[in-house]
Amino acid sequence: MPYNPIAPSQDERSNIYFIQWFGLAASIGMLIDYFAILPTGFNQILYTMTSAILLVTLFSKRFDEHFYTLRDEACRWATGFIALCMIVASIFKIADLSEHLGFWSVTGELNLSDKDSFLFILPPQLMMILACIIFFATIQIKSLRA
Amino acid sequence: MKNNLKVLRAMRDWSQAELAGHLDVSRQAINAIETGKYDPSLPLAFKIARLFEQNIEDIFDDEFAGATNEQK
Repeated sequence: MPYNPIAPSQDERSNIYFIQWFGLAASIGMLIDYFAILPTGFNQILYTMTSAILLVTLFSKRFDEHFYTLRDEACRWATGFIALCMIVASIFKIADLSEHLGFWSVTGELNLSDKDSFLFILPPQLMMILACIIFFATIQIKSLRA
Repeated sequence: MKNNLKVLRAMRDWSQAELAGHLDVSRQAINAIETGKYDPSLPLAFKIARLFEQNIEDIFDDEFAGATNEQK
């Protein structure tokens, strides 16, 4: 095998599994911060930490194939959660649209530009935090089951 | 997929970390393969076979081999 000067070390490959615990802890911290105000500066650390770990996990190519399998599974669950939220939101949107059409059939006036009518089942920030938790939790669950 | 990687590793008196070092994977990957929770890719399976100087089918148990033969 040709010598690769920037090949990841054994520790580097194993550390990424350990780092995921920090990602999970930080994303749970973000959830706590969402409901209870944490001291100033603390939430910035949590958000920075979670995003940094996510970016390294998603885009670095210095891990092994087993970790990539776990990462793919985590992506599947996190994206699936977002899709589920979007499906629920779209159902509300259809219900909302039918209300507009009912109003139109009675009054003859159609007003579809009302942005407030779009109902999210979850606020976007909470949805983002929950997707992060699902991502890191899936990696840990799959990793611990192995 | 069942395999005898643990036996082969024990015969050489290697730890999971040592075997992982030889195969350029993480210790967690070796653990997952040994417990049958993760099936290695074909390149990694060849690498394992080369390292232990055995055929792939001698290390990994092809659970579908019987079914394929029955179909024939």
